[in-house]
Amino acid sequence: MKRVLDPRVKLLLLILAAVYISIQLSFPIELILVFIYIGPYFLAGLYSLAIMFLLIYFSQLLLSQFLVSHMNHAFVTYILSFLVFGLRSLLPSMIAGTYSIKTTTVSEWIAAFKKLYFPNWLLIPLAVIARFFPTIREDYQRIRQAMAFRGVGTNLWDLVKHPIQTLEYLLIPLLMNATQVAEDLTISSLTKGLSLSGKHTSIVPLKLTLYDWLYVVLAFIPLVLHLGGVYL
Amino acid sequence: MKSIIKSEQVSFQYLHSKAPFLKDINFEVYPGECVLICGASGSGKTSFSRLLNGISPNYIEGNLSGNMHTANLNAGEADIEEYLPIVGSVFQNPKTQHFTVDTTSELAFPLENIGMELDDIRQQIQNKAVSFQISHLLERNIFKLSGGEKQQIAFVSANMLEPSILVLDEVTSNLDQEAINRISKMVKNLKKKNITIILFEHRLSWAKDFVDRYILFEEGKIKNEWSASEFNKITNDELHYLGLRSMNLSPYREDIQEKTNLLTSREKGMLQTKDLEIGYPSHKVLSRVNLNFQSNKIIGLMGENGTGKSTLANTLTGLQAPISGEILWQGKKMSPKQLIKKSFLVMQDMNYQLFSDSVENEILLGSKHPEYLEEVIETLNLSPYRKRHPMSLSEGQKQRVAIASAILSGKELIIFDEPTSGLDYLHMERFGQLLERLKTTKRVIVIITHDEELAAKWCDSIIHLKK
Repeated sequence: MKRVLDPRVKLLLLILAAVYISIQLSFPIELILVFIYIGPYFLAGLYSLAIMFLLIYFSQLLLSQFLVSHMNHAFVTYILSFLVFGLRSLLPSMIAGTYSIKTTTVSEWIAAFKKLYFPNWLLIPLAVIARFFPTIREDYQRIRQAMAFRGVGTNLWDLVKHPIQTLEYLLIPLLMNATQVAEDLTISSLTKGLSLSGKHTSIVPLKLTLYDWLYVVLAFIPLVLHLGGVYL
Repeated sequence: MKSIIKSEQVSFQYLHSKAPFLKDINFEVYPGECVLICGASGSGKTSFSRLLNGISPNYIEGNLSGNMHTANLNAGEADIEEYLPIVGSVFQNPKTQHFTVDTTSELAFPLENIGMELDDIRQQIQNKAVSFQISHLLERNIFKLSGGEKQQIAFVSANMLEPSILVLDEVTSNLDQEAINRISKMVKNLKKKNITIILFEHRLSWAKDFVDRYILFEEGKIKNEWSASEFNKITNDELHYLGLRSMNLSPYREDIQEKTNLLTSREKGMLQTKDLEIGYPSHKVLSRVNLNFQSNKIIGLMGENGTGKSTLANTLTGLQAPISGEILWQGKKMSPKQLIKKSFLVMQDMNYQLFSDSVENEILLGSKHPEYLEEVIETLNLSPYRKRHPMSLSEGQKQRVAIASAILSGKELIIFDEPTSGLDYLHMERFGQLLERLKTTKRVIVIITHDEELAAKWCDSIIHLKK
């Protein structure tokens, strides 16, 4: 059976991932962190994504060994060290973020935010943002099609040759559309009482299970190890 | 009888705008009445609808003068939340009014927000699904629904709290006839239950069975008012003169019939399909498609939602490869890649296809014939806007910019996807005239449309897709 973490635990993982970026973890603790974060993928049946992240992580590890011992070309070292060290510290956030987006519906986010007693000024924009991801996926495809008719950004070579330009062609319609969608969604949510004060209920059953509590504990382990000065 | 909606000397001016948008609106609506407010785009319909459901001046801000009463609430004084149990609202765009991603949660959403107990929520969803006949739509992914089904869900969701007033802002403008019929049935049933219904529309024919009164807005003012019996006597021509769509669509339907039969002509077209099979290997949409598209003609592509109009358009423009069969351009077989270079799809949502910071740059982006810039700008009446940001233009102007860029990039096949949905009569006519000019150039022009007036009046032949 597939098991997915409670959205509140996902939020905790996301917040802790941000904390882990800001503190310099020793290598063994980092390794433990990555394994803890990748665990939920297997329980949710997201095997190929999990393997992809692990492959990225281990190639970063391999490259970093190579970089330290063999490289002396300044520019290549600069690029590689960005990929190897910069992106490596972001990896836990990316793992937690991808998992959250992949496994959480908008209703679950809203239910979680309500359970956490988020105030309206935070709840409404967050709910609109959560509602955005599926819309953006649809928009992205339409925009790529429109670009194809104009002969821009149609192949990988364009992206390499004019990365900023291609990105701009993609982002401008995406953002312009987003402002319109955000307004429409906000209006429709207001006419359906999202901003009502008082207790809201939810048909999405949110209950913390043993699995969730286990992950609350696991997520703190790297932090505890780090603060405890354990170097393994 | 006491009125349920009362507008006394209402004027409204948006924040940051120079002139008032609504001026001295006076009228009353009685409980159980169905009133249709019509008028051209920009006449103030949507602005007025927002005063009825509390969105203005609460969320979309502005200066309100006069008294706007909705039941016991007074616009400008009542909070938006107070309108919730009284007014249900459905909006124009089926794509942006659902807050959740599955239908059952969407129906539960307003009930959750008032804190109803879970068992009651489930019961209420079942009851409403039965009474609105949408049980088959429960537990579905909203992104996988058709536009019509999305609008049905929006309609039921607006009725979950059983409001006594319903505000419908151009809810049918993106729908095909069958979907409109389903919405029409829902409205009719609510009318029987004595719900007060305010429709904002410029498409009139679908509502004529249940509207009691018609009110015409023009430039933010009430221009005229008719009872249903008076209004039914107005001819199509008189309606067009007021900028309104036809009440009686039967002459147009006859024309469409005639134009559909024209297609049997054996004349060889610029673009031909031979035993085309389209869709996906796992899900075939249409097979044995043998069509003939001539240049210098406007060809309408009609048919209900789900009959494969979009799939056909995507295949003809090369966005999607056919499963089998051939697409020929002047007798030569074309690959999807070659087709993309030859064609241009003008999407319904213009915002997806504007990329540049000025109209001029937009038109020149990817162009093959920049030397025609002046001429095209002139013909399409774009000269006053050439330095403007394309996103700041009206929908009609954006559409003309897209056409201009299609022409300059030397595209020979131009397909329009629902170009006139949501346009009033005047703007629909303007689009028709534009087509007339476009067809004098050697191009294949195809219009995917549900708009019977557009098809009857401006298309030369019509392809009707059936399941």
